[in-house]
Amino acid sequence: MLPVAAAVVAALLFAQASLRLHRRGRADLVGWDRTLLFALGISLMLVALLSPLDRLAEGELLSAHMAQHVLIGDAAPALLAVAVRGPLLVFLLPSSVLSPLAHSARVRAVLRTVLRPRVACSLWATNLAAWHVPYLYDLALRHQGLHDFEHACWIVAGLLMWTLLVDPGSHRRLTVGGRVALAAVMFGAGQILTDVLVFSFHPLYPAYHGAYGLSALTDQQLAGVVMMVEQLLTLGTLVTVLLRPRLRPARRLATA
Amino acid sequence: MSATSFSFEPLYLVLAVAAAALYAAAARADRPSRLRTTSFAAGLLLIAASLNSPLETIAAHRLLLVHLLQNGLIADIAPVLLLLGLTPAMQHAISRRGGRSFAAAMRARFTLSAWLAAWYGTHLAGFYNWALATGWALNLEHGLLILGGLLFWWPLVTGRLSVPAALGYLGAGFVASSFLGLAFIFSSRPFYSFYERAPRLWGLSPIRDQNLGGILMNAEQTLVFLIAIGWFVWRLLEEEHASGSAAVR
Repeated sequence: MLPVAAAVVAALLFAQASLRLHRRGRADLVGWDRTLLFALGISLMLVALLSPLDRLAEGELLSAHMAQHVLIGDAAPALLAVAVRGPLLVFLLPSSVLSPLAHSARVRAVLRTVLRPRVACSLWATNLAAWHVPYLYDLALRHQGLHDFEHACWIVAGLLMWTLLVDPGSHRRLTVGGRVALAAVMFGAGQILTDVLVFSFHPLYPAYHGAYGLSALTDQQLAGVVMMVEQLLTLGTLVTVLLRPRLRPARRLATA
Repeated sequence: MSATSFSFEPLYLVLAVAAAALYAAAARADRPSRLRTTSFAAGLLLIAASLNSPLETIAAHRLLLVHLLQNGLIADIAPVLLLLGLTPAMQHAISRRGGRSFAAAMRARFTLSAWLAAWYGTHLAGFYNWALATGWALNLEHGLLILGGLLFWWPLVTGRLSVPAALGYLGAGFVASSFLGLAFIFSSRPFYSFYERAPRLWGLSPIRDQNLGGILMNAEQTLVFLIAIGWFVWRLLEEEHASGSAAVR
């Protein structure tokens, strides 16, 4: 029920932001494309957490569990960050909520700290490494409360990183090169995990014994590939979008 | 034939000696740094040693795993080392001698396509089995792989691409080439009949041999590409830093 409630709250927040911007005559800031991206981000979260994928992930296929994690911790946060970029971000919270938060020195200090690239990246990498330790992974599978906490960690870590990568509030914490570098670090860190999963000679997670014709080892290798492919899609798209404007002048120079 | 006995592809010994002689002659006019010389020598050594050693024996007669390792060494690592060993003047001299056709052939689209064609083409079952069965055709296979590698890395090492373009080029190369390794890793039947019949080594079944070969190939390529991508990301940051400093001044 928690994911549905969270999705409803998010949808309501987006709807009120949209309404307020329309009333101010700035419907251009919340076009259909933003609505679509936001809906897609929320839908991905719900599909990952409530669809048959969740049942597969719970104890049948490690690769399904990996797909679930990359959807809630990477793809969905990326879509949400892109959807709310610009002034829309400020309108997402009603002014009665935003104003006290914006004036709270503690909230500002926490946000300033966790959104420092090195801090956010360390938190993200620690989260990635910690939840893939076989003991912790299995413990989370056995205790629903811990499993929910794990999912919350993925979502928060993903939102932190994609806030830095997309920069929806135009805070310019990172230059374009810095964002590309951060994407490369994320891919590199993800690749380490991918390699551990793909290159292992034995299954690492005792809860998974293979299913649907896949052996436990093939399932594990597939999990590594799922992570790599998803990262290539999300981070690859981001890097292409970031570097494309720089390719044009280079092309013009080359043809001159 | 014992797995530890030496096998030879003399062609590559001759080519390595010829390349070393040409490099030494070019170095008289434009003295390379010690690092460049070491890089060039390491590239030559990697090709000559991996094709003229027990590695060749195991690759050509016993295990696909070792053959794929050998291919990775001569197609991915040795070409980079060779090209990094060339001074800018040497690179320029090669371009000048090559003329317009060389310049046209060194366009990124062509080099990437040619490298991928060599990479996938030489690993097609028909070609691979034929090369292994005839023996002499292994020279052709290895030559195509080395040439493909030199073509792929040329635009990157010689600075023909801007940093963003180099990152795109590397990303495209990484993604496009990775399917072969993945096919080996996830395959459930051997691709090459030659290795099905070959005497086994270290207790590896043909399919296990193939799966491990894919793992090794993927690991090697990932490492090489991540290092190259890291280098160009570093240069991107340097460029931004330099333009930022210039703007402040």
